[in-house]
Amino acid sequence: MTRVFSRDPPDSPRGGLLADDMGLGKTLTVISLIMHGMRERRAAIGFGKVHASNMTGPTLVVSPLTVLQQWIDQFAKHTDGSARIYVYHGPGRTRHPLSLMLYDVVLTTYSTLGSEFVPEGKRALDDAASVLHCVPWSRVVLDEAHLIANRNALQSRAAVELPGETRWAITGTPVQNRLEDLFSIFAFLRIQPLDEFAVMAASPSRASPRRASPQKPETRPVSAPLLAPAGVSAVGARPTTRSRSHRPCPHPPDSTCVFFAAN
Amino acid sequence: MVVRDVSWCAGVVTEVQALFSGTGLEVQWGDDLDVKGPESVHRFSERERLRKEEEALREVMQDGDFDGSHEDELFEGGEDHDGMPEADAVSTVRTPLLLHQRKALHWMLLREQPSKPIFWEPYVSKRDNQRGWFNTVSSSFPSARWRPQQNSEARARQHARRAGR
Repeated sequence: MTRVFSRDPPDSPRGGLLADDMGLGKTLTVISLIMHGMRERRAAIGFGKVHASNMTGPTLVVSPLTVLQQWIDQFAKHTDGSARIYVYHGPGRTRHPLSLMLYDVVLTTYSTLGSEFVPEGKRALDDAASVLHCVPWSRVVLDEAHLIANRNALQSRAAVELPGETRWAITGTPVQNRLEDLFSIFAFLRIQPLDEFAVMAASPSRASPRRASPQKPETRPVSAPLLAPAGVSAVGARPTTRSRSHRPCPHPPDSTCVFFAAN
Repeated sequence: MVVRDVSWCAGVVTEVQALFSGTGLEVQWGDDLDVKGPESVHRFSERERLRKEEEALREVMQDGDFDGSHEDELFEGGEDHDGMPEADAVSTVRTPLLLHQRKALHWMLLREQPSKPIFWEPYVSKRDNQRGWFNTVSSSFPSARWRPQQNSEARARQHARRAGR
């Protein structure tokens, strides 16, 4: 969908990028979000309101291994313990997608996600990419989402392909080195048209094809004018102090909290 | 002025037109544009299509409050952060949330509702009454710039869709 005009209504994915600065308690915010809808989902299953056609799965949280225990601890510390949590990690983990449906939250790591992932072309057409790709997650949360910045890495592609009704990327540092780092996050959030790398890489600062001169990829101006508004506009919050935008930041440096939204 | 070869850039038609629009001079497009064989005809129709889209886009921009200066507005942010509403406490979470967390939670709950896409505005063409959508962010850039990035397959699909209508 690389057109300014679209005759078809654009997809409107739900979710976004929560880019609170480090130490502001993103994890607790997300835990509250998970706990908020949990009772309703469980009640719906209990009373038989949910059937196969509209079955919604649990929330999947993908985090680095080093933070996995922190998630478990935080759930124990901050909630009343009513959430049923499955840690999808280690050799003894289940191989059955259906059993994962019984939980409220499934925690896993990027390395597990990446190691199970069978990319397109290496799997049969009707095969799922992995066990985690079989579950119709109601919500997918990528903690430390900047870890998928390398769009070619298996774990990035696996994360982007995860099915999920609402999709959240959580990171205090959405842009690590270059604005292109955002591409995987955009792709994960299904933000059109920025989820096509060609579109994102096409720099508006090249005024016209004939004036474009070949430049080294490192020095090529990235699409700041295109990207920055897209990222910042959605909620209109203040940009993170860490963002290394190519534009001067017009906001006070003491701003702490930024929310980016998907479409 | 007669323009002969515009095949090198699809957006030039609009550019030249815009250039001459205020001068009172008339732009006359060369007759040889679409008589160079099938390849040229294809290019011409592609150009024509682009031109129509740009024209429609201009119509949109004049029509509404989209004056092309959207970018500043985007940077400023449409929402007052201090006045952002907060979410109620979740009964199963024992730790009380801080102010910015309650605001974040409210926003996240809002974002989980199916809603109108943010960067896309519905638009009804005055000419043919066709319903469409246009991207408020990318509309400040000529669509021609994106076109070369498309692969031929996607273009073929697009043409097929167009023909089907």
